[in-house]
Amino acid sequence: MASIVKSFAIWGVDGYPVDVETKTIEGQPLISIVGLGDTAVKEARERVEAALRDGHFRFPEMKVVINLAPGDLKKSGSHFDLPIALGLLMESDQLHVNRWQDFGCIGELSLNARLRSCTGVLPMVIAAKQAGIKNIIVPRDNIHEASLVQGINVVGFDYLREVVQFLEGEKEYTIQPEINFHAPAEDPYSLDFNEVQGQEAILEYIVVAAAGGHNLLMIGSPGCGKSMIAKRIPTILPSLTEQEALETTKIYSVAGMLKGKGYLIKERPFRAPHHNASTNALIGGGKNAIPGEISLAHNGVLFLDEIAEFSKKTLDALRQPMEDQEVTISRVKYSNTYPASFMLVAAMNPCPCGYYGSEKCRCSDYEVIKYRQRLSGPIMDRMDIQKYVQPVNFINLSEYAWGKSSKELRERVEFARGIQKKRFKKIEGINCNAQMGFALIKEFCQLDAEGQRLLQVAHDRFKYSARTYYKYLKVARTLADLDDAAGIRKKDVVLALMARDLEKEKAGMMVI
Amino acid sequence: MEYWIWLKQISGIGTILEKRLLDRFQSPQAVYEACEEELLSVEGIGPALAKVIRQHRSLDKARNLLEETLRQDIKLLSYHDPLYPALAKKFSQAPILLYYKGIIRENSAGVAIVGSRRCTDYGKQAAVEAAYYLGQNNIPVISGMARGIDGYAHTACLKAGGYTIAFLGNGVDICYPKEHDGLLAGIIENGAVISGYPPRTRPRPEYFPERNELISSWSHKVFVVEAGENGGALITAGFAMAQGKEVHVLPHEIFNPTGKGSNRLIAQGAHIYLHPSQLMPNLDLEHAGVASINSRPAENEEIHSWDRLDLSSENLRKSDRQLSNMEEKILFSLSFAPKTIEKLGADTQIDQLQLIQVLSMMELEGLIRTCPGGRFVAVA
Repeated sequence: MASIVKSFAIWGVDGYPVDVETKTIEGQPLISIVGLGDTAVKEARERVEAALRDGHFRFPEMKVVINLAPGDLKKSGSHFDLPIALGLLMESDQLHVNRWQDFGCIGELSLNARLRSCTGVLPMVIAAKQAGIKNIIVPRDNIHEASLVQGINVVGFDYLREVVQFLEGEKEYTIQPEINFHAPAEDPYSLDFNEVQGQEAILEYIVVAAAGGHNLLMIGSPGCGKSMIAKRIPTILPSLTEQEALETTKIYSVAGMLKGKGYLIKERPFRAPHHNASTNALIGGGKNAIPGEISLAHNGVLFLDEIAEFSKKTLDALRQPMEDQEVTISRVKYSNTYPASFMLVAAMNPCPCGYYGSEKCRCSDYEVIKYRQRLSGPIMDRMDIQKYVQPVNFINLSEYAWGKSSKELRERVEFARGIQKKRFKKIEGINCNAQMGFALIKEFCQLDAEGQRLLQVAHDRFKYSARTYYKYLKVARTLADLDDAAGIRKKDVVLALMARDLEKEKAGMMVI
Repeated sequence: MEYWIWLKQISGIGTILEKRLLDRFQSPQAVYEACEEELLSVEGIGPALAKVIRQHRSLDKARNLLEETLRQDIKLLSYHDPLYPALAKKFSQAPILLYYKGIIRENSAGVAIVGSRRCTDYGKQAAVEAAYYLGQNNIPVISGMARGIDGYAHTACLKAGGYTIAFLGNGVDICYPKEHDGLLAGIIENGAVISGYPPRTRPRPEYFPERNELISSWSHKVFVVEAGENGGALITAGFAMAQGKEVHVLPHEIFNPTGKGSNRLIAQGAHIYLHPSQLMPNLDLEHAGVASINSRPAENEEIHSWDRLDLSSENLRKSDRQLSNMEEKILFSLSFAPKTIEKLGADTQIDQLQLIQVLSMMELEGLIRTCPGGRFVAVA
């Protein structure tokens, strides 16, 4: 009978259980691994053989067949080393599992039988728990990450021999990882908005963007502080819920980007891909589809600096994920779905030279318009708030008072988000004002007569489209929420009308 | 018409000689049919030139060109055409044949607005205001459809519902610069693009001075909005002065290189531009008196500045309510130069959050307006 060791594989950002079956057959000494493994899996046999010999185990001199079941799903990764090694030992009577009848294991082996950390541990442990497995063995370096899942017994080791001794019952497991999952949530960010000084007006709109989940476009000359502001936006977003933290950590685990020892990610991610990024780098993809920047920014901020320099095709690929809050990467044989719910923050220069409106700018209206058209209409359309960021006179910086702290701003944002949560409780797929469709806007964004009149005036004056009109309504709704106002007041409309600088400029452009 | 094309195409015969020939023979066809002795009777035509004319006696080329022109919906304006403005004919180098697209109306001579391609926002505003004014007063705006000032002048004139003519340094079937294709279509619909060059002629630097001469010759007055140390606008101004036209020049800061040429023109005796009304062709500056040009008319006079272009809707009439102290302060601070909210806040010591609210309201009421780059300025 074949020996079976339970392990796991990754599908998208989720794990699923894999049975590693090992069978020795009379014949030429040869080891073959079947079950649609990639090169990393195939190479496991060399590592396992070296590791067994180095650990003074006997390598069976027979034909060995290893099957990763289910056999019709592609598997990748080096974490099958440990289950394969254990299976071989069991099959060749060198290991008698006395302790657990039911366990799963993952881990890569070094040539001298050490256990190396691997990627995707969190989703695999979650899958183990869901499959009803009670105990799981992981490399010592991954123990923090694995311990994020509660209700499953996690043990971590450094050497293959330790695993064997433990399973045979020769040695007790003594190491207790210091798990600080529930450590007091101090501020995890090292940046703070109070460092942004003299720009209170733009900050107000950034709070609005964060509160309503509105995408934000900052326009400004080089060096005016667009990136500085963008980097601080995660600090005013509501803290991650446990569920969100797990989701984000899972993605980073799969992408192999968990830093340190794999603690839970507690700060909202901030991703700033360079404008040279390929579509696949942004969206996700590759031969073995892996999450892209938009998924790494899940529950956080995706910052596209110099958005006008991104290729149009790449930007337009963002449209569907922004709509669905997830992205599906299709290959001929399979498709993976990665979550991608992020706040898009973009920055660009106002014109080709970057100094639009100042004395030194000599760009013609045509050039300015052409430059701005590098952002396609649909993308521009998804930017509810478009504000100029003005350079601060840094010589006089000492004259400015410290700005409002991130904590203070975050409280306002959380408050407004709370109201929205209540509002959209019964509506599936909508969490914040920015996501409201036409019908919801009609329902929740009623204007009084005065507000209506003001919007009408603005509409006539700046030749706004109907679409824009609804954008102002959404922004006004968020402004009202920030003040805990039930209806949209005149003040909210007035402030909302200042939220889209680029559109206003269009009216003054001398072009046909 | 093919005879006109034929006459124009003969190399070695310039505009002056062409006109002498026309004077003598009445029509290009007669020139074509004239024998050598007859040709020799014209002043300036020696035996060599007469021979050249005789040798050129083939209409094939001209017919091809005519066919091409008609196919492309290009029209021809000959020197004898009644639509050829008398004003333009005063210019001795006025070409005997022009290619055009669009409509040439009667009284198509107008006022030229010229300036640099890379212009300042100040220049743009002045050009747009002037062109808008002329457009509304049914004075043709003449310019060269180049980037910058030229383009703004045509555009503003069209937006005011006016008539405008663009002179090109290339064939009228070619759009140069390319980004002006929309503008080109607009001009053809409500004006004309004219060129002395046959279709398919690509723009070349040496063609442009000739175009500038045409711009000046079709104009009663020339308004130089912005001219650097050298450039097309200065050339046009030079031609205008040589042709005895009134040249009006927008004054610039003396330290700013963008307006150096302009200021030099003023120093040389050009009129200082202060208000679009001084561009009206029949306004005689000597008699109108200094007062009329030394001050811009008060707000309620019928000057239509472009920033109030969209204010036709009745909601947008300037509010006549009492302004609050804060509003007065803001208006005062914004009356000198456009400012950002940040700068305004620093200057007036008003909290920025309060400012956005007040500014938004003031903008809706038409007291201030947005300037490029997220700045605001008081509406004069």
